[in-house]
Amino acid sequence: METVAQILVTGIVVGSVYAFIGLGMSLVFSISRIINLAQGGFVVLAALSAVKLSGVWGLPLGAAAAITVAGMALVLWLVERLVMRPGSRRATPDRLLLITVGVLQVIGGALLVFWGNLPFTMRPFSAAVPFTIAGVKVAAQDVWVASLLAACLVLLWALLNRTSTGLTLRAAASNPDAARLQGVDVDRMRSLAFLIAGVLAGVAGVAIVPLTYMSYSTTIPYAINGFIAAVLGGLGRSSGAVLGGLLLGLLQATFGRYTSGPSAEVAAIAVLVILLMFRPSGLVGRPAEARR
Amino acid sequence: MTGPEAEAVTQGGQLQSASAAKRAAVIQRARPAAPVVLLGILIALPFMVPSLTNLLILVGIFFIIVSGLNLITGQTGQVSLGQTVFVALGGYGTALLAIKLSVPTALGTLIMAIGSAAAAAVVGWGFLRLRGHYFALATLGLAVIIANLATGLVSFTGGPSGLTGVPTLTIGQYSFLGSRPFYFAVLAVAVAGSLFIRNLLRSGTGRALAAIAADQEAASMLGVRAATHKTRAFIVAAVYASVGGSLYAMYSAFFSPNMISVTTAFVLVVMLALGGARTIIGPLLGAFLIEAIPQFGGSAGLYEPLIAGLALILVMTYLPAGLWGGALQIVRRMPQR
Repeated sequence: METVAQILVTGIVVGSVYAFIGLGMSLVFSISRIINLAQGGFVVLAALSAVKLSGVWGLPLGAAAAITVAGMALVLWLVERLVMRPGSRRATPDRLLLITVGVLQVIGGALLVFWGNLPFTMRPFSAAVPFTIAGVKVAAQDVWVASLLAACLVLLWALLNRTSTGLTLRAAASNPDAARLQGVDVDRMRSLAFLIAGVLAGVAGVAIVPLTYMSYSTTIPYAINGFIAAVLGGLGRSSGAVLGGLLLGLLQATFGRYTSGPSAEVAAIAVLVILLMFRPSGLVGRPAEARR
Repeated sequence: MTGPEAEAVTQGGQLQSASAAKRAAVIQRARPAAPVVLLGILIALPFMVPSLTNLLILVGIFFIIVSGLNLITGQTGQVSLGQTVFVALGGYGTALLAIKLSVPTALGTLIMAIGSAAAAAVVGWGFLRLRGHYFALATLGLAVIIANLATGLVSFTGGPSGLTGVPTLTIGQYSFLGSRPFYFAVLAVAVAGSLFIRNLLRSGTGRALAAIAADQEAASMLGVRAATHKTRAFIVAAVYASVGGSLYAMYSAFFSPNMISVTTAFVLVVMLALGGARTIIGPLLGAFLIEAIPQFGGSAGLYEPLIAGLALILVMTYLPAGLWGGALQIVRRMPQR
């Protein structure tokens, strides 16, 4: 029972980060049809920026977090304006995927140049004593991560379903041409989607870095796991991305508990490969979209 | 329509001025000579600039791998991010066969090339049914798995520190010891590989691949079996990657997970995109430019991932045909002015 609870806690915390990444990818994909593989890289960039702001320059945690989140929103908005928009005028979806691979590569390269190859971490948000649920120690930071994900989900849901901007966003996602005829500025909605993805990446990076070590070499694992989360739930579905992220986190936690070495990672990818072959549209979705 | 003039006229689809036709004729006549000149330069280079030989070997090995990738990605438009799987099969396979079973490296290279072809047939059968980017992502998944296995299976692959003591290439009694002999071995494989691809593109399979790239649905209506031809291209690409991996292991007497990291998988695609797909020179140019970055000494190697990423973004965004493809387009447009 204790082991099960332990796996649950670890899985939910790790899965929350994947959910954050998958959520950002899904949102961008639903509006622009771009699979932004770099989304996980931005989480690592946010994490290391927060470490630099609070740890090295000594800013208070709240200020460091706010600057990081705002900065990530700006960075993703810039990426959309400078790279994705000109790219999508000329390139096919395959090429756009390669462009996001290039962005991921640039993030990793920039982290290597500006942060070096050492892993970084940060002190937790609050120094509260770990408490115990069902015999399992839960750190305060674990609660922070899960509740930030929940808060972001509620806010995103409210934005999409309770505001006129959200309605426009959903219109641009479901049928760009019809939306354009109705006077929706689809390009602006795409920028907005990237901006929201930047906020999600910023929050995820700041929230997770006290629990783990981040460096330039963690960009690719996060990018791929986040992508698996998005595909697991069906790309373009926010609820699917969250479900996929948590499932993947639990799967990795289970494998990590009973085996050692790279098997957790290999198992996760094997799930992706099998899923792509037999149910490429995710656990919820129509297979016809992905297969010829 | 055999004369160069007729060719020049049909190329533009309309009548051209006499001077333009003459210029086109010069280009036509220069064409068969160009590969010979290039080959002459490549043979002479290690004698003229001996310090370049090691760089040229690496460029040659990556050129072989990227040429194979060019066939599947450039010709059929299916982006494979998993070529490192076959590089790993070739590299680790040849190394292990030689170290553990004392199999001659040339034979080991051949065995692993056949093994990679078989693996590619299975993977291709499963994955090539997936649409565009889903194929790219599935192959990326394989690249991550193989990188993890190479690091994790310590007793088999030597883990992060890799396998050492791989013997060099030996054919009959002759060992390709030292940089210059090995360079010529790589050059021979690269030339043979390029000739094979050139002939393949002029064969029925090549025409079928071009048709699939242009419009898969139209091609399949004309009776072209897209899946069969794509799988064939994927198998050839896997053999090239495997041979490249074997050559790398023999050349450096060493093979480690570093050579088959996910970053390498990305870099292979960067080389292709940077130089330009669907040409033979494109992969050569791309491999040379990326491999040359660390040669600028000191901290240049540190900047390699950043520069490669920026180059990929810029080329894919603004010059989809790559540097060589872009240059060719400019040359082709010139006679019409």
